[in-house]
Amino acid sequence: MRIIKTVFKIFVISVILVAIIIAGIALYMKFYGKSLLENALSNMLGSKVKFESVSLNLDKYTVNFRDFSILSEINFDENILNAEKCTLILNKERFEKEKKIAFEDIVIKKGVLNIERNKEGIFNISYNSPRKIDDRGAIAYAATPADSGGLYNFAQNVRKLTIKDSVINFKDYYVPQGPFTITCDNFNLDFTSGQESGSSSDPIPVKYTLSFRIPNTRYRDGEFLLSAGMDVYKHQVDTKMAVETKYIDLMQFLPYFESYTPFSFNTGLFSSSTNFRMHNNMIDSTTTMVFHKLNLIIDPGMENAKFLETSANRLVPYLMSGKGEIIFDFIIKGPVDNPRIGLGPRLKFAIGLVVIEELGNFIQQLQKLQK
Amino acid sequence: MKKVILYTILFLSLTSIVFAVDEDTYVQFVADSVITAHRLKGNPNAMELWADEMLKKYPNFMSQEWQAFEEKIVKDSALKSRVYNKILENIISKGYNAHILDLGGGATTIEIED
Repeated sequence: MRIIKTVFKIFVISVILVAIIIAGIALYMKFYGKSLLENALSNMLGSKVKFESVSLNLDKYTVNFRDFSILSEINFDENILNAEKCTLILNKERFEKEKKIAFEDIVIKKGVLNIERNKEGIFNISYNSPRKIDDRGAIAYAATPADSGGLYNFAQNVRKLTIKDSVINFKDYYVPQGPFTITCDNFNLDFTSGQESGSSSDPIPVKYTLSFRIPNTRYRDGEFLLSAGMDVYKHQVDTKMAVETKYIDLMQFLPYFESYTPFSFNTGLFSSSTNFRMHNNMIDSTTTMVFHKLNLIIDPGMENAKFLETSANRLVPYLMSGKGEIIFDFIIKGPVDNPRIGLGPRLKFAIGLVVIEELGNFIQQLQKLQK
Repeated sequence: MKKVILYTILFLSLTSIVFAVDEDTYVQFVADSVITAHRLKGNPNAMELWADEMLKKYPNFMSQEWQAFEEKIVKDSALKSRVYNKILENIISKGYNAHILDLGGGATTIEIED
């Protein structure tokens, strides 16, 4: 009987000990494991990361975060990113073969991206640059972020990034009369990077589309759509990009016109189409803008207001689309660090028809188009 | 060798006849351009229609060197004044009520009143 009692006591003590050990591990993971993971992710992204809870699916190499945040570094109002859900799927092959972490897929749902510019003109996102990982351990980040362009490393380590049903908040303290704020919803991003060839001199092919909507209570909502293909080299990016905007309300950006141009608007919407190409660090871009319901106001007291007003009024009849819209085009050309902005063909034609001294330029433009 | 030189001189003089713009041609062309542009105001296809009409009147205008003559005018204010007044007279002689308008910044227009 005593033996049974002793065995029972040992059993009870063992159960209590196991329970204490399990509870200890759970408590350790709760209080320290989370912060360890947060630190590891912060190092990996080059930005401070926080999350509320995490769940793992080891079979699928998937990590799910709830209430995931990327923090701003200093003196900014909001976190850079807050997302209800963030899912990371690790690249199993690279993890098993190379013992390196690369992501097959990152999915962010219902996120809020806060882009902020402070009074010194610095963006919150530019404070957060990737840091080199301490790779003394067995597992290292697949690419070392400090050795070359951030985009190359990103493309190397992330095969797919999807952002769904998210919001962009932009706040600008830099613009005079600021802060200027605007919210864009329906923000979606699909980013896909292709396979590396194995040679470090070859580019990584990347494709992405980005879209969002600018809500408008007076007119229809504004829309923005960008689709791009890129060849990402270690020290250079070649890209072809198409950007379409629809019904963007100029009044929503009035502080910028009031601060930086000699004119502003009573009413005005614009849609635009841009074809942008960059090859060997040389830009070649054409943008056509269509203005609807435009009512231009020349600021009083501006030195060249008279010239602008008289010229603009005379040019407008030659920039009409036939639907009461005004079409305006411009080009951007030249080296990426010093590009030149010039008149587009349509605007050149209009000026050539109005200004006698520009007739030769206009005819030269016609000759170019005929070739 | 003489033949080559002669042919070269002939070629050069022919091309200069084709490409050069003299004062009278310039005055006539700009006057017609201003009148045509005025009639096409507000038309969404103004530039294409302008080019079509001007080609009918001046079949070679696309291969002529307009900019060189413009540069000459811009550098010589007396010449500029004389040429622009000739253009204005030409437009008025065709029944239009017009005037020269300085837009500032070296830009000038001839405005036809509606």
